Amino acid sequence: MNTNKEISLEKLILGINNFIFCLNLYKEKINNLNVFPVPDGDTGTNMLLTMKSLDLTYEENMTVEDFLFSLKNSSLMEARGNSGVILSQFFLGLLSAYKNNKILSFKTLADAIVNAAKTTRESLPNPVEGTLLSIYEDVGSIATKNFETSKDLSGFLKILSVQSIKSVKDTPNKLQILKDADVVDSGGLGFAMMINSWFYSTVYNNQEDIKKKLNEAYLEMISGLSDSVSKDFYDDSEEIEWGNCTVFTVRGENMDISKYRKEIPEFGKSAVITGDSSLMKIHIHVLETDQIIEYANAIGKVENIFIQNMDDQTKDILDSKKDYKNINTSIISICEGKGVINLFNETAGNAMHILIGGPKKNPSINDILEIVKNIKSKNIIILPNNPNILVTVKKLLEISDREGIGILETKSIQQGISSVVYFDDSKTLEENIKVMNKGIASIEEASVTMSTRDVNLNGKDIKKNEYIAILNDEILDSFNNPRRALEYLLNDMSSRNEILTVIIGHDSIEEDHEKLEESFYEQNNDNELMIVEGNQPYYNYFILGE
Amino acid sequence: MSKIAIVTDSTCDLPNKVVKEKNITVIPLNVHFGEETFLDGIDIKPDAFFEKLSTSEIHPQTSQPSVGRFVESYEKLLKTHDSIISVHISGKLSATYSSALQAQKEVGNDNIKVIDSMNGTLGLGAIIYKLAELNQEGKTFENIVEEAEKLIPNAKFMGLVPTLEYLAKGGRIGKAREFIGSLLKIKPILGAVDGEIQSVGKARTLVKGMDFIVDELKNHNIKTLFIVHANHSERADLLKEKASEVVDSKNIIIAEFGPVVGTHLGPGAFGVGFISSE
Repeated sequence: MNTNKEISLEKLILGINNFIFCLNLYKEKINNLNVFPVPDGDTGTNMLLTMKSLDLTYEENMTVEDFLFSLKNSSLMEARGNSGVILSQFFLGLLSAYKNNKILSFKTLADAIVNAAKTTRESLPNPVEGTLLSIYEDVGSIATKNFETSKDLSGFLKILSVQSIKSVKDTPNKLQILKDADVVDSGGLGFAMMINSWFYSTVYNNQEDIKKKLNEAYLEMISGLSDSVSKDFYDDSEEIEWGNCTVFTVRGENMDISKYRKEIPEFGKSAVITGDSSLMKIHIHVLETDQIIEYANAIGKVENIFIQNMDDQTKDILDSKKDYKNINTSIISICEGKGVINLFNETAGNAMHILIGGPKKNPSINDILEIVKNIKSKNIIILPNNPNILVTVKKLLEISDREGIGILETKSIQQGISSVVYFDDSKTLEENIKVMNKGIASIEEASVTMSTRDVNLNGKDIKKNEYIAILNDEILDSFNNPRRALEYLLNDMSSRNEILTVIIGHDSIEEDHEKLEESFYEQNNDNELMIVEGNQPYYNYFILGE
Repeated sequence: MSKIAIVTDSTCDLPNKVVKEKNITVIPLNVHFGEETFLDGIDIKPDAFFEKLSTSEIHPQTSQPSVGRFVESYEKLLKTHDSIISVHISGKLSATYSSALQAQKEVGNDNIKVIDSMNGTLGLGAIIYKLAELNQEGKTFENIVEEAEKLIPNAKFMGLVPTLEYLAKGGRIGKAREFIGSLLKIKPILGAVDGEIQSVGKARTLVKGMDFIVDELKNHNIKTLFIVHANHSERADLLKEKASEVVDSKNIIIAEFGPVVGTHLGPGAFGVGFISSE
């Protein structure tokens, strides 16, 4: 074996560091292209997070195989999202190629990419051309043809880089949805950028030069196409329910991965099952996560569960496509549920930024800081809409030195919504806080939720799974179905309020609420009842009385 | 002493009693239900109009007074007066002002001054009320014209409509259009800004809208406050009760939207008109 064609471990680690460097640079640009399988705008982020989580520690007594083994394991364990899981195939492929070749060489690298293509194809129930899979296959095949004739690493990587660009440009011809959205495949582009960054790092020492060349490669790949998925495309796809992106690992012994590859896709969409007999990585989009986790528990030890609601993610993207220019005061509303998000968005328009959060899903200070950092307007008003999140937001104010941040101390979604009605961007921060607080001052708020345990409250025995009617933080009564609890509350509140707004939660969304309106208007002539979909979890109904 | 006539049009919505006391000449606009035409406030009074509005299958339309009607009135007034000051609804909302201007040219008398109030309903009404007072105090033609120019930027109108449907049908909705079809049915607080209808605030309930208006009143020094309603005197009474915290209730005058303005605002609408910093 010609030692010139050996790739030292040092060079490999340098290559991986370049992958991270370029993904950091191009994360947002890659996110903007994300349309397949779900337009949730996270491909670049997922690829970067997957690469960042790689275990790159190398100790003296470690063999190359040990190092590649922990590289593979860490990539499988931490891989995020569809694109991250497919990216981790490269490291799976690298380990098995090394085991075959007993050396890290040009051939090993070529084999690794070919292996990645093969295991990706195996791990997908319906492999789709025009994605990262096609880039793996094209680049793997050209690498196989050229590893013998290439004189040095730079020359070899150049061939791979050129091919990767060519293949990415071809993706819209292979996959119709890309053509419709007028973009190239985001994951494919991400991988091509990685290969290019490795190549250019062997040519230039100066980061600025590398950046310049990467920009040229990027522009070449998207030339003649759009640099982001258009808002219209998202609007059209808004009606589709994407469900939850669920990613986890299963540890076990002698697991029959080919069997699970057949069974797991039955649970949902976009399944990717990868790994080996001791560690499997599963990525799947499901409407409800319970069943798939239960199934996996029977196979082995389930770890690193990562669940993200993609409807909320898709909504985030719509937000990021808004025109935030010329806004004096932005609002960050922390809430969840498609309909609730919609209410906030519609009411404050371009001023509104949504951060997903609620009971059992409290965003961290960093999550909020991240949004704050990206807001360019002079002022920001934060609506926590939850007592626990309010505490977090108050802490944030203590540590942030950004000027012009105000908190409106909303402790519920009802308060948040009734305050935002009075927001007016032509007013100052102080004036807005004043009028928005006024909006909250005289409201009544109620909710219906299921009791999770047997309790005695205010001398009332409430059984587990009964529905409780809560008015202004006080439990009034419990009922055996949520509709009766709602009717009880409406009846109680109608005499004191001009408008009652019912926000329907996820668990009651299928019910027919038309009769409710009819009977309400039979009894109340002067008052108004509005019923809107909220899709919020945990609460069957929120009720706002004004 | 020269005698001056103060002229306006029926969109000023001043009560008949005030019109008589202050010696104001009101030129009526027209309301049409299909082929039937009524002179605003003369052939059809507010009560009958809102009754007809709720029962008629035809949605009414409105039109400016004809040039001829203005000519007739101006010529008649000039027999008993030396000059005329004629102040009208914003030219952006109605062609009344342009009818009056043409009539003035037609009559060819330099002693007629036609002015665009950039306002409507009791915003215009408040201006006219003040000018009529000055006239009764014996101020000169030049004094009153000068005063009118000063009053125009300080005349305010604010109001709420239970539904934006009527404004939209009549094509007068302006920038408040964005509130149509909002999920939360937000009600804009409408005001006359630069001669057009604009949203100056918003509320989800009419009562909160009243509170907004009363809060806003606190920012102005008001001598006479006009409260106006469309066939809903309970609302006007409630607003008067709230507003009397700010303005002495002796100086609050309750009026009704006439048929022409009522056509565009719809039943249940209410509002206030006043001059700021009198």
